[in-house]
Amino acid sequence: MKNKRLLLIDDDEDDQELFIDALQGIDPSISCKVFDNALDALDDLDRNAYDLIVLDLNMPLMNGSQFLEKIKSDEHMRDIPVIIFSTTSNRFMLDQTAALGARAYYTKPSSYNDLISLLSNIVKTA
Amino acid sequence: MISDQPLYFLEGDGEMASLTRAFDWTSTSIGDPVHWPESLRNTLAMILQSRFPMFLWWGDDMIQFYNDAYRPSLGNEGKHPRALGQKAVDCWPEIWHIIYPQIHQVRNMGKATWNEDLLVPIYRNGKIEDVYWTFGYSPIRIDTGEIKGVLVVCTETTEKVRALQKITASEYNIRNLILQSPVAMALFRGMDMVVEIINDKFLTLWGKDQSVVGKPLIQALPEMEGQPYPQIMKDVYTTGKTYYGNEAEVYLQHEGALRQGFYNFINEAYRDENGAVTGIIVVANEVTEEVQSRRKIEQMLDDLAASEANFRNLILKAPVAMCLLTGPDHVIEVANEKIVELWGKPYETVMNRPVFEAIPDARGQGLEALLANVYNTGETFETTEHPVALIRNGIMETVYQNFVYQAYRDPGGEIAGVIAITLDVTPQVIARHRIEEVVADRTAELQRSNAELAQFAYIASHDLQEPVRKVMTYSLMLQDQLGRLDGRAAGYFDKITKATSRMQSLIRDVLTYSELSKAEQKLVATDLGKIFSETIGDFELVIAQKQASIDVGPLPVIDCIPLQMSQLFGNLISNALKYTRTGVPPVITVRCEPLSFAEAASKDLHTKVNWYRIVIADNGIGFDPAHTGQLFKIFQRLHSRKEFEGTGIGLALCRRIVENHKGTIEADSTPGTGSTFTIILPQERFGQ
Repeated sequence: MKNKRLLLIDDDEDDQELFIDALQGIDPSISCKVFDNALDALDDLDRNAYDLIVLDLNMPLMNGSQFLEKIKSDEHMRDIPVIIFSTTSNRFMLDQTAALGARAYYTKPSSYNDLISLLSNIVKTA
Repeated sequence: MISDQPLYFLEGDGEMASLTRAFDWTSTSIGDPVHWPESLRNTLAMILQSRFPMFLWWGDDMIQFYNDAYRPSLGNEGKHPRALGQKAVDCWPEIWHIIYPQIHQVRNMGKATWNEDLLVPIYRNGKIEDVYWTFGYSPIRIDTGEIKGVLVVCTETTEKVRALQKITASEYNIRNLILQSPVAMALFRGMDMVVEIINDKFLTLWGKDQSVVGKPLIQALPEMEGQPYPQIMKDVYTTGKTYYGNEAEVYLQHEGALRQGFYNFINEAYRDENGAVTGIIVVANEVTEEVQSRRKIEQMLDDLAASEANFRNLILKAPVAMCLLTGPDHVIEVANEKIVELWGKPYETVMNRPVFEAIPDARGQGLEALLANVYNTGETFETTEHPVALIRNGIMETVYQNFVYQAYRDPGGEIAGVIAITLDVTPQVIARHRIEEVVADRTAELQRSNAELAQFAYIASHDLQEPVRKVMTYSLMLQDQLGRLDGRAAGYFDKITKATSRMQSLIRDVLTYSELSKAEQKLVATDLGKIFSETIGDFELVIAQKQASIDVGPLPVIDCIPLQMSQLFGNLISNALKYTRTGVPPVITVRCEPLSFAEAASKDLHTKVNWYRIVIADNGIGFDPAHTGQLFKIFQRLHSRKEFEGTGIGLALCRRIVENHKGTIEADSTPGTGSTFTIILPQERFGQ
């Protein structure tokens, strides 16, 4: 997945930083734009195209589920694959986001090494 | 030709004396009276002088003489006067066969004869008549001792015999009358009331047989001793006055016991042909059943009258407000103080008036229709806490009543009115309304704070997760950065990692638990067998490590929240795989059976749905049954973390899940042998 464009929406700065660090280590050709809220991301999506969206769920103003619902109801954006990347994992949220059209659901790992292997996997299959 | 010698023996003024004197005796075998032997003369003199009927045959030809007294026996157009001087055999051809043997007896053997009321039909009054005689033949001897004559002294007894025959016939008739009577009938004879004739009906009444015939009443029926009936009969016997017994109470011996019976009877004097009382005829008819049933009816009528009075009294004294409204206008006929007080009107203004006229403020609240319906159909109406607006003592109030309208029936079963029984529950209702308001407020408040609490738990646990994860992440990164560490430093990092991961699982479990309180999720028909096998799939690794065997029997499809079911089974299987005995491979069995109706009822479960009992048993360390109470409480643990890892939330979660499904969960154990968890769940959803 060379030169792919990723969009990360996550309000946690530490997680943004860890994510980008890990991604750079895996494939520096991948570009990643980061928004800390879903509203700004929607705004940007009107103008820019992305190959993959990585979405946190618990965020202020607009949460991940609402965002997912929004882009899945939009003709231009509905085909962009969305991967959920959240601290919390439970069956209910998993089922809900799957129903809304999320491609996958991952719990944020507790170790950096786990993060790297998870991201490698995502990038490989994206 | 008449002898010139005085014939003294032929003297007399009677017809027969003169006929005898005038008769030409020389034409007969006994010849001229002058030559008649002395005994003939004397006998004839006696005959002609006697007023008693007499007749004489004399000589071998049995020439006949008779006197005036005898003459009527020969009738008017009969043998008189030819019989005088006639030979017997010529005179009595029609009875010769009767009299000859007797004559023969007298003449040859000298034996007198005696016949009483003997039928000797003779020709007289122009025909053969049946004539009864009492007569005797006596021999008359002459001086040589030879029997020459036969004197007949007789009297005609035809009339007497006829009278006797009449009596006999009437007795025969009375016998038949009695024996064939369709009612009990008997004839008692004499002062001692000897049973003479008694029919079977009478004997049945007495419970006796014909052996009583010939016995005095008191002997035939000893139980009469002390009863008034023998005396009554004696009175009838002595006075001749008929006695009528009406529904007389008589005690008779039946099958060894005195039995009370009631009889209508007549004691009537039985008289002979002279009108003298010789006995008593008793006619009796048992009316026991009639009397008893009439008495019963009378008793019932009495009871009814008494109960009517009692009923009115009951209303007046009832500890609840009560009244009787009669007729289609519901006239207040009886009302106790309590109800008058409830109406809030003076007693005298309401009594004996139609209820809606007496209490106009009760109109237009639907009560008219209710009362009319009870009055017309007899169906009882019952209600509780029914509000009725009443003007009581001048103030408009709403009165809450528990009341019953019930049809009041007359003794014939016809609806005569309506009984109203009312309990004023106004204070209770008002108090309860207040309580309900308070409870509703509290409940709303509680629900609010519960929701807030759940929200707080959710947010808190979620937000707590992030920093914990970061502590973990950065401590691991720091460890990497620092490279190889000495023993103590590595130990500290190990402690940080362990504490952090424990913190994470605590937060995760609290989060799961708090999510159960969130808005209700939909129940869907779910195959528990499928859920179970999926759940077991999550434990594959541990099962393999511990060499556990899990035996799951058939599980049903029930209405449930699938996610919660997998959490429930997950926690229980996880526990079963965790609390194991060292060196003993875990054996877990899962069984399910439907609960019988009786079992469900005995456990106070809703009986309109089907219930299942799911039993999950293991062979682990078990627990002390004394701790059963703590088992399902949140953050309650029976073991230190050193022994077994855990957050103390799993079984609380299980209980919450089962309760969400309106079921029950119980645990039992024999320490060191294993634990058993019993879950009871409904098959279908019910209630709210």
